[in-house]
Amino acid sequence: MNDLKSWYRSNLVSRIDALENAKKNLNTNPEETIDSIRRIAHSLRGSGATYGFPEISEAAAKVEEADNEAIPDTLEHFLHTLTAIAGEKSDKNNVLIIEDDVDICHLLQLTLSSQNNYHVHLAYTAQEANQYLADNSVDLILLDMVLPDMDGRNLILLFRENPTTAMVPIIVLSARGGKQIQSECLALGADAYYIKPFDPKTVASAAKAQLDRAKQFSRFSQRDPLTQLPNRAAFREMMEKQTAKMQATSHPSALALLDLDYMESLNDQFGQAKGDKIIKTTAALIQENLPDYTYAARWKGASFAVYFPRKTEHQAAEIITGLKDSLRTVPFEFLPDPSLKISFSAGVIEMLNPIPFDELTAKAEETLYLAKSAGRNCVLTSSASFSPLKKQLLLADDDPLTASIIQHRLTREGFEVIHAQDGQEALDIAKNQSFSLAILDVKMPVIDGFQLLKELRQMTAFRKTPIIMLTSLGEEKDIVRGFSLGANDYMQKPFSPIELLARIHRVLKS
Amino acid sequence: MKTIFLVDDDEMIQQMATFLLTQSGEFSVIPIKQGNLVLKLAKHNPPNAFLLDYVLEDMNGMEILLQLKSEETLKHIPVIFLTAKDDETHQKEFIRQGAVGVIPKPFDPMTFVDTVKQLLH
Repeated sequence: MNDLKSWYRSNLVSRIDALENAKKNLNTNPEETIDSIRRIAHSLRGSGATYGFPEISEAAAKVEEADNEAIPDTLEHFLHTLTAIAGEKSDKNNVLIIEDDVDICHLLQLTLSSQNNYHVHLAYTAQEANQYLADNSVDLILLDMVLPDMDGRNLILLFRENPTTAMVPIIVLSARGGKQIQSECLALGADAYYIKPFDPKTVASAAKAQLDRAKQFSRFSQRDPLTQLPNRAAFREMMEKQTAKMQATSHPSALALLDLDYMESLNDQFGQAKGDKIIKTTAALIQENLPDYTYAARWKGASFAVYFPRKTEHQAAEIITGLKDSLRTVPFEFLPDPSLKISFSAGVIEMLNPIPFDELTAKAEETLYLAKSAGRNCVLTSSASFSPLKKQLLLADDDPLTASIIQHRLTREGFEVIHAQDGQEALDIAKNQSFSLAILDVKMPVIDGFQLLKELRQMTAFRKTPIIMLTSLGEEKDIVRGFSLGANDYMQKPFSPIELLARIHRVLKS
Repeated sequence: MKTIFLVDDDEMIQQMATFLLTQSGEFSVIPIKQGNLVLKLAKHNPPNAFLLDYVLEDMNGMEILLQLKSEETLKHIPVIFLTAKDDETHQKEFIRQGAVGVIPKPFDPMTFVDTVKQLLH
């Protein structure tokens, strides 16, 4: 049976290739391609569960029964399922028995091999064991306490220090029954301890239990224990697989980062445990309400990441907004006031081309940050946040030092600063572009700040644009002149950047 | 030892069903992938039973069933459908045309041989 199973699994590879090929042809020759996709799905639907992979039959059924429009999504899921199974390593467990008593070795080998799913390897000495482990990975170690060349306890220590065996379950077999040795072995990192003569069946079932537990553990390390959502590492892995596949498709996909609002003060007010419950409730809500083929993970603390294949950022933002609205209706029974409204903010971005994961998430974090600064309880898409919110500013100053200070500070505040080195350049730029704000130095060669101000005010695009003049200290008459020509404010050099920011915000508001 | 014609163009089904049936020690299996060969081979060497898939590349299982049932020498040989078309309408039609039973795909390898034996009894 197990041989058939691995035969089946290796046969999946050609099916996956055929489906990947079909996926590429979906746009050029949809009818024929969909037919052949359905044929492959039909065949795998009929065999998957028979070979012990019911998930293949299920995913295949979805493809076979899908409308033509739903084929791409169901196919994606199907391929995902197939790839996961084809890529699994053989489900035989590699067991290493380290024991110098040949009879016991063979007894254990017989007992384990009769259960079919074990590859048993024997080592009669510690040296043999180490040689084997240098080239092979094992899933379980059965270890005799007394070996010709080494004390079993030392070997446990060695195994636990070696990263490749650090997590492998170890079952100790010992002729000595002392409680002290037993607890010593367990303290060194052994997982179970049996005294000779032992019942081989008991040891075999202990072996099975240890293997099951080890598998469980590696599955859980991919999950966040609090929310049971995939963790950040798992999300990264999934995203990297997705972007690697992206070249073939020309469809956009979207990424959203969500962060619960005011989580710090909620934690302060109700305690960390209740804060965790809020996070858990939100995670459950996300999982229940997201459409199929969407991938959610716990990002960090009170933030979640959601990946939407084949969705634009607007479609994704709509779904997230729906989620946000339903969260506000959820009663939090464990809080003193269950009607307390919990909200989150989210940044949603779209990708058309494969973008490195870190770049992608940095962009999403930035959008999330903007959503937070927009007052929270807010879902923002990157296109909405970057065009209207990013303010463009015209800076005319011939002094490179002043210009660079202003540019540096204001860029950090989210402005896009266009720097003109003199009045003429500023005029040229102003003819082609509108700005939310202009900062003009008074003293510039050829066209000075006043003349520039005058000319700008005559342009329709600049009639109402806030303009701040930079004047030198002690030239009070310049201030009066500036106001009379239509300036909104002035700053005296040298100025503090903080004061400049305050003035900018004031003129932008009025 | 009973001989079974296993008519299915899916290699994966062929492998599993052949393995299970032969391993039981009670059946020998002749795997056939082309529908148009079934009648020719059966006339020559009538088996003890047929296992028929419904969707084949060249013809469907119902056509084969009708062919077999119209042959004087073959019409008494039991036919079992092995198919994903296990909805009630199809099932009834298979039975009405003389099949002894339907094993839905994907089948359970643990019970497969027993089910075949029961249906052939």
